[in-house]
Amino acid sequence: MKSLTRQEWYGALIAVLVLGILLSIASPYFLNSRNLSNILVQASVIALLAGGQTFVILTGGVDLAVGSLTALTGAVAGYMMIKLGINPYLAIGAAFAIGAAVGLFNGYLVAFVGIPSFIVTLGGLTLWRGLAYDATGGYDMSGLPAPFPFIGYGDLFGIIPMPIVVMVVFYVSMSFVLSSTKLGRYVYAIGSNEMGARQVGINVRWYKLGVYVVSGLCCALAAIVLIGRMDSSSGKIAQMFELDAIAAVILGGTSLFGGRGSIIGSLLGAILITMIRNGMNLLEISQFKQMMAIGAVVIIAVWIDVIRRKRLLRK
Amino acid sequence: MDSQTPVMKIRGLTKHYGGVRALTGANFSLAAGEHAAIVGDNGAGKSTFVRLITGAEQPNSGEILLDAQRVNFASPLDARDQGIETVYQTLALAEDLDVPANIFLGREKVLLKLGPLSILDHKAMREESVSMLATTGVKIQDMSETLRGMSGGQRQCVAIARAAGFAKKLIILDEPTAALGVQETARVEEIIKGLKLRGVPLIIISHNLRQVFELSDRIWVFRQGRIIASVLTSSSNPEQIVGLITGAVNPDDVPGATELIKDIALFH
Repeated sequence: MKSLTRQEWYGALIAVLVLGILLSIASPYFLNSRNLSNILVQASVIALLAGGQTFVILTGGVDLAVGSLTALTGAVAGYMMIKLGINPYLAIGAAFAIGAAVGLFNGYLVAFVGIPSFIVTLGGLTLWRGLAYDATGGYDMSGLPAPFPFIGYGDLFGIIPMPIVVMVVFYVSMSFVLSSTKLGRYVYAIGSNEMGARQVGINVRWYKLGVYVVSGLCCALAAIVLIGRMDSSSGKIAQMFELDAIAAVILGGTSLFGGRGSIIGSLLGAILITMIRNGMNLLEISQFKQMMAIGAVVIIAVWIDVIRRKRLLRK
Repeated sequence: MDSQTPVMKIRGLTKHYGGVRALTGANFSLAAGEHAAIVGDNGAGKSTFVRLITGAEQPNSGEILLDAQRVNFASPLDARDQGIETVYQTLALAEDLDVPANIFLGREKVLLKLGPLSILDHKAMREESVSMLATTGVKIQDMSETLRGMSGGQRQCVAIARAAGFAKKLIILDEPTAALGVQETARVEEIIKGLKLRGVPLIIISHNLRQVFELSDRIWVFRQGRIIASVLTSSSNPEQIVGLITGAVNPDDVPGATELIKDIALFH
């Protein structure tokens, strides 16, 4: 086991603590259990997207389409339940099926055809968003049936909000997958040295395809939590969520160049992004300035990653 | 099978790319426990030869025998499965993973087989890695350290230990010290000498004649797409090898230099 200070997510942990202390001093409303619980609930959707994104980025790719795919899976599930009266569990199944299918599509183009992930998912960013609107006629669908209110607003044992439960269970499982399964190990190996991974007999193409399917399934899961929280769904949900998800992964210490990083960092990164937004809201900083601040944070995080990578290469 | 049977025997191995004859009628053999060096100028056919015997490419004609059994390699993995471990110049290591992860990369030990979600047996891999490194004489201070923090020599040693640990028949080292400094080269050479003592058959491709003379039992000289000479290292000298490589020395003028090559061609 690496010591704490050597972990990639160490910086994110420090940032969360420091920002937490600063916000506690700056605003009397920050440090109370309602607000903290609220931050975790708000972080949950981004955290779920960031979890799938971590797999993709560790292989050296990127998935820019997660916001749009969340909209597509959420909108179709909502449409099925509200407009077509289909059983909500079937709608949930459909959301996962669509997430997996789009993941297969992306993964096929990246791993088997050889189109850069940036291009495939940049196209997907508008493709899936357009399909989300088109397939659901642009309707707003509200008043979702059970179990959605419970997923969005329910509390486990009457105290822990369900989005937090989903997030924690998800992160515990993903953490295990990355550290202790072949998939996890090969994700790191491919990101470190793709040609080497091929030479030792890893089926690089299939594993690369796999990470986009993981990301697609995470979009479906995020959509289910998101529409549960909003108690409605439409093609316009999850706008720009890809930026927050990618920012969370990078802030969590995972390298955009692949091979280095951790899933726990992405959780911390998602919490960090949400804290920044929450803090700026409490301090009544305008929406426009918030947009600028988040953008700047992303650039700085990548900047740090580039410096760190150069230092490692010089060794 | 007795100790007289070569570990590897190659007869008439030929590869051409369109009209270009990269390798013609190569005869080669590797005795049990022998360390053979492959030398030759750039473009002499060494790389083609290595690609054919590691399964990276398939020959147009000729045959490869492992322990007197005829084999065909469809891919590098196929060659590996049949007992040939290769350490490539590029090493095929994942810098961001630790030593046990790299040693078992692509052939992990698992607790539970579930396809891509197979659960890794960290403990078994760690323990076997420790013993593999110990057997090969490689010293790594911290097994949980990623390779990124290690020197080129250490990485090369890890790659060689991995090959030695898994090789059922023989190891091929492609320019193992080309990118290393003097001290690191010495360290890797010590490891290779250790393999000799353990009787692990090995083929080394090297441009460094000092190294070739220090490490090999027999030298195979490639020239213009052919294997032109095979001499015992102990009965040769660097000037003679340079002469054979450049064509200044005629192999027919060197006693015994073409004997083994002709024997392989004659006896089936």
